[in-house]
This record gives sequence, C-alpha cells and structure tokens, in this order.
Amino acid sequence: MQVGASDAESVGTVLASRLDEAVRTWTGHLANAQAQVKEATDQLLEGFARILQELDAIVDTDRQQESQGPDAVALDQRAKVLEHCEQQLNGLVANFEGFMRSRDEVLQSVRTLVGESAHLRSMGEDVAKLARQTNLLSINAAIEAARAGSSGRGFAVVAAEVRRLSAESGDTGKRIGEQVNDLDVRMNEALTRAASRTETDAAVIQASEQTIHQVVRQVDAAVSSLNTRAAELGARGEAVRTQVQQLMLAFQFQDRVNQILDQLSGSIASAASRLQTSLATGVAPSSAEWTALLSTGYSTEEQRAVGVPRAAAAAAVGSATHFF
Amino acid sequence: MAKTVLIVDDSSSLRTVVRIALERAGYEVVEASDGSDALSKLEAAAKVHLIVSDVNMPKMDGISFLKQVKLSARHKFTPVIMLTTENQNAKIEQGRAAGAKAWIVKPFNPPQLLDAVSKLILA
Repeated sequence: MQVGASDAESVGTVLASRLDEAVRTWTGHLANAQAQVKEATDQLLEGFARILQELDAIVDTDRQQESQGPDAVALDQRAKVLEHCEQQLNGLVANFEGFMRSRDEVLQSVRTLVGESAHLRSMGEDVAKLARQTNLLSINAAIEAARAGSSGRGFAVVAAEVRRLSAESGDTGKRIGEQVNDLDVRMNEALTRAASRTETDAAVIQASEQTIHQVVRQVDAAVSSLNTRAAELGARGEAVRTQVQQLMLAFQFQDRVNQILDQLSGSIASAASRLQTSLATGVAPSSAEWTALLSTGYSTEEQRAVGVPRAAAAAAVGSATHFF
Repeated sequence: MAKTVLIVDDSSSLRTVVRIALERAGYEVVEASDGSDALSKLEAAAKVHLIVSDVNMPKMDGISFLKQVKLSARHKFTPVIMLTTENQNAKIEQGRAAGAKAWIVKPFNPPQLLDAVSKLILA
C-alpha cells in the first residue's frame, strides 16, 4: 500500500504494521525451518541408532567368538577337527597297510617253504640213492642165490622182491623230486608276482597318504582364509560402528542450532516490539539498550562470538567437566 | 542390576545421543522433555540413581528443576549433572549453588559424560 503525506494514517502506524507482518513472517519461517531440521534429525538419528544396533549384533557376535579365543580355542578347534579328519583317513590307509603286512607274513612263510624244498629235494634224492644201492644189493643177492643152486631158490625169490621194491622206491624218490621241483617253481612264481604287487601297493599307499595330507592342508587353508576374511569384516564393522557413533554425536548440532534459532526468533520479536515503541514515541533505543536486547537469551559461545573477532571467539569455547 | 539415569532435555536428538551413550555403557535410561516432565518421571520411577539435565528448557528450566529435586525428600541426594550449552561462570555458579554435582558444556563426548556419571553414581 502506497503511503502518501496526505494519507490519514500515519507513517508510524503503517511501519508498525509492516514490521509486525515481517516479524510474523520471519518467525514463521524460522519455526518452519526448526521443525524440518528437528524432524530430519530425529529420523536420521533413529536410522543411525538402528544401524548401530545391527553393527553391534555383527561386531559383538564376532568379538564374542574372538573372546573365546580365535587364536586359542577357535583355531585350536579347527586344528582338532582337521587332525581328526586326517587321523580317520590315515586310519583307512593303516588298515590297508595291515593287510599288506599280513600278506607279507604269508609270503615270508612261503619263502621259508621254498627254503625247505631244497631239503625235501635232497631227501627225494636220498630215497633214489638208497633204491639204487638196494637194487645193486638185490642183483648181488640174485647172483649169490643162483650160485647156491636149488638151496638158494628161496633166497632168489626174496632178492627179486627186494629188487622190485628198490625199483619202486627209486620211482617214488624221482616223483618226490619232481613234485618238489614243481612246487618250488610255483612258489617262486607266486613270490615274484607278490613282490611286484607289494611295490605297486606301497606306491598306492604313499600316494594316498600324500593325497590325504594335501586335502587336509587345502581344507585348512580354506578355513584359514575364511577366518581371516571374517576377522577383516569384524574389523571393518568395528570401524564403521565407530564412524556411526561419531556421526551420531555430530547431531548435537541440532540442539545448538535450535537454541540459536529460538533466541533469534525471540530477539526478532523483542526488537520489533521495541522499534514499534520507538515509532510510537519517536525515541530510538540507545546503542547499549539495543545491544542488550539483541543478546538477551544467548546461551552458546557462538552467539556471544557474533561480531567478536574470530580468534577471541574460538578462545571462549570450552567443554570441560566442572565437578562441584 | 543396571543403574537408572534420568535424561532431561527439550531436544529429542540430544536425548537420543545421550541415551545411546548411556545404554551402551549398561545404564537404564528414562527420558523427560523438560523440568516439569522430569518431576513427573521422577515420581513414577522406582529408583533413579542419577539425573542428567539441560538448563535452557521450556515450561521449567534446568536450574528450577534442580531446586525442586533438592527440595524432594526422596530425591535430594540423587546426583545431578547439568549438560548444557551454557558455559558462563554466572550460570555455572547458579548450578553449583542449586546443588548440581557437575557441569558439562555441550557438545559433549560420551567418555566425558560416562566418566562423570560413573564417578557420581559410585560416590
């Protein structure tokens, strides 16, 4: 509205009205801004509090496991499980080795028998030798019986029978020798095959042991890697938790800002009221009164530092605990 | 059994920051938004071991609340820490005279507050 000199309404009244409108508008905006900051801050804090809870659940669980001894108990448990697995697998190999030892014992018995076969062969030869001598003896007896004539006829029958028996004994000795030789050949063949098999089995067992050892080491490495990763995640979780806590502390700004804006809002209203009085009376407030009015309600060092040189303002801020 | 701390502050964000710091240290927390609300909470609570109060609050400011606490037969020995943006000696002296046990200027850090809380609760 245009104000002219001829207007019935005084300039002072109009200015007072404009001032009142301005104060209501400014304080309305300030209140709006405060409400928005408060709402946003509360929401952010609520969100950070939930994040912090989640982090607590993650980090504290991890730490709990650590407190039970990641290096002592957990690692020891892992080592025990792996050791148990290795023992069980090696147990299978040990069983196989047991079978091999039993087979070696049987083979050793066979080797002993092969050694004994020479003795048996010698015995067979002795039988054959005895048969030959008995045969010579029977021939001599037959010659002597012939010389004795009719009186030696009975003796000739005996000599013939001895000769027949010696021939049979000779055959038996020969067969014993052949059987022993045949047995010897078969046993040696068996020993040769077994020796070849023993080498193969030993190689298989050695390979199995190496494979078991290798698998256990691989599992150990994989578990170790997982543990390292878990520890890294725990450490990162702890770092994030610390950062979140620091961020939450920073939200104290809202309290300070709110106090500054509250004071500003009150100060605007007081200043406007005082100016309206001045308009009505035509007397302006003194510099000291005006400064005192504007600073009424200051509660923070930042407020007091407005208009004060920066270095002096910084020196005035402190947050020590005063005990009484 | 966890000790109970009453937090009195008109700023909900400040109450949240203090509450989280105290709860993480193992304390139970009761919140009030001003001195008047705090007096009601004190009467309702079974036992409050310590009070952390702001100074500048609507309805009833921190110093007035502190004086009311000291007049209460039930709570006059409950230690009170003033946690405020005020760091003028005159205000601090008002707090001391009214019976506060400690004065911490905002912004605070949790170790600073927890140190004061543990010292006064044990005292």
